[in-house]
Amino acid sequence: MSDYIPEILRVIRDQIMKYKNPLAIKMSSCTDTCSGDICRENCETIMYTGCLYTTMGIVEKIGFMLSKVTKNPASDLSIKLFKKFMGPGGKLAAKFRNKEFDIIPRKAMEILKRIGVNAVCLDEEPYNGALLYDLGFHEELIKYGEYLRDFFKSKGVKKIILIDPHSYDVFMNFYKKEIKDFDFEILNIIDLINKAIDEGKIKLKSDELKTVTYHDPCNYSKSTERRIIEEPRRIIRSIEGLDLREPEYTKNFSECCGGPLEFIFHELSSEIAEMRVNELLATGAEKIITACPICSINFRRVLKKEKNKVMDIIDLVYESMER
Amino acid sequence: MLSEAKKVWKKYYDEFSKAMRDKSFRTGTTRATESYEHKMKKLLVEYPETPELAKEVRKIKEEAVENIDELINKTMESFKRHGADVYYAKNAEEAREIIGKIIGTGKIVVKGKSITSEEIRLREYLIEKGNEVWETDLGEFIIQLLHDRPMHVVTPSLHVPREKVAEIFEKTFKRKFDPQDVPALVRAASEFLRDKYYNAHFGIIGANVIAAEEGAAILIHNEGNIRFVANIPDELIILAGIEKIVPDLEKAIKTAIVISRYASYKLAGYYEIIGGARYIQDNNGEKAYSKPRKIHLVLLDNGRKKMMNDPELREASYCLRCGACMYSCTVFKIIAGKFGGPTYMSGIGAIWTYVINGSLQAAPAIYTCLLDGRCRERCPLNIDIPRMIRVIRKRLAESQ
Repeated sequence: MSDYIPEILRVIRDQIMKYKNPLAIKMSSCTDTCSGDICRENCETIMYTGCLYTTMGIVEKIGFMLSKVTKNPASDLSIKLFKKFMGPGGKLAAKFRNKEFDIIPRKAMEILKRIGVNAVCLDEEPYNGALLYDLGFHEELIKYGEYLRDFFKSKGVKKIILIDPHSYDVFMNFYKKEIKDFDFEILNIIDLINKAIDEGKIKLKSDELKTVTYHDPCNYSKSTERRIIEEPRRIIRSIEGLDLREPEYTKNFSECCGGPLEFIFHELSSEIAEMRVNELLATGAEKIITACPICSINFRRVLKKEKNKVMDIIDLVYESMER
Repeated sequence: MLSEAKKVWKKYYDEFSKAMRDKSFRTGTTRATESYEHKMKKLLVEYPETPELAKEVRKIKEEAVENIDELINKTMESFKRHGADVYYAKNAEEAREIIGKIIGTGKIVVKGKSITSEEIRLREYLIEKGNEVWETDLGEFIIQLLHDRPMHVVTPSLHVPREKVAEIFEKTFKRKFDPQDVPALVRAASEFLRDKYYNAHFGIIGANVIAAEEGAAILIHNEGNIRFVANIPDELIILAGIEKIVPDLEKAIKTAIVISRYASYKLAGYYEIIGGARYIQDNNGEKAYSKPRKIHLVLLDNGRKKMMNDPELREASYCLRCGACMYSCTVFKIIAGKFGGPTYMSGIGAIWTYVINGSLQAAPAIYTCLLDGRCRERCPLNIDIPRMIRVIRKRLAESQ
């Protein structure tokens, strides 16, 4: 049998299967900053981050190493370095927690509380498995989906509120369809916020920030299933005092942030991010609103000192809530 | 990873990295992709019925692929009826040999642009056999002079900005060119080629669409060169992939309109419908031909039937080669056709490479795709490229 896939992809696959996280960090690190109740059992409605914010936060911090390791998939040195730094136990990676990303799930939980949604965070979270899906590790993805199902069932989960597009994509378009008894009710925080706005449960107002542009995550805007394009825009438009500006390429023609290539062709990934950032900044908006932590770190990386121009939509809603 | 695979990945990485840092490459690519997006936006406003027509063409292609064996036979019969010699090549080698035998050696050959001929490395093969071969499409002519390979199916030299064209023309024609004077560049090429047309023994063209029932090849072009290639030399060779066949002329014309629209032309410069060689017979039964005296049709399989018979990848064989997905691909905007295989570019090209050249050659391109789906949004036939990339990734992962 032949073998055409760079080793780095197989290492990532193996880490996800073994440690339930691509960086092999502890499952408890994914929710340890979540505010409110941390739940161990009989957790009916949960907010699940897919561990994406914690993981991508670390990826941003270790970018200086990762950029050398993940630019050339044909290099042997790359894989040795990756194994050494990202390797078993994720001990090194865990030293690079990123407060700016860790705070987002906490803010998401605060929003849920404010709009009257009763949800808890689990005491630990396996990663959402999206990389297995995107990289084509089908056999492992099925096993992983079954593991996730059993994990959620053991915690008594019935409803899952998702806060990022990659979890939403793999849950809705793969697990729900391909994994037997993956019968959880799946909700998206974007929908819950919209509903709360319609019902008048939440009023949003921006004081200092006047103009934003919105970057559509690909999994929301170009999905072949349900598309989430207008919903985030409704949220942003509902914020008093805030003007939404559309970039030239937008909605189902928005350009990708380059994130999917980060672990394989790192420089190309950054070139793509730079192109997209320039399009977004050409709107003249003060901030770029993202709905995906992968887009966030890609944009922040190329913006360097101006990385604060990128803001998560959860952050935007949280900061716009009446105190 | 196998050492062989590692070599392929390394070459791929080195090539696109070089392109990524090459300012001239980026200038050309950016100019072309931006201009495409602007033209397309305007065009769809001016011709809002285009997507509806495209939906109809999707059905035409589905029907054609469903009945491909029957349509291949019909095409061959129809062309024979017009006096053409018809050939069926199972693979690239067979196609090269067939055409090599027709042409022989020591001939002058002029070519219209044909990515299918790039797929079988026809120009190189014929030159090696001792022929003088000239590309007559300006973009392909530039590619030939640079010893490069096409970076796009419609605009093969989109990565070569006019500044670099002026440079290579100065070397070739031994005189000065002003890069801003594009008409002068075009004139220089066509003056050089004019002489070649009149001395050529053979013309070689591809086809954008083939009508099975009537036996006609449709070609879309903007430079007028196809007319010279098809009408001046004594003999004409048409090389076409079997995926170009549609049931009849009406459907072929609809398909041609959609191809040119999504290539960003309201109306292309020329649409040729080539039926067959015509002649006038005198009382003694002697035939006087107009040119070309003889037409040869070479239909190429080279993996296409395998693609059509693969339920998970069949959709890729509907591809019209309008190039819309390439101009719209985010990766393409940076590295153009360096995202792809030896012949075919970008996501759809990665799929074609997998079928035509195999897993080894296709793997790096298969993993370069962002899976974002912008290509599918732009594709006139809504071909779900990311879905097929996932299918191939799955197969590559399983073949470990």
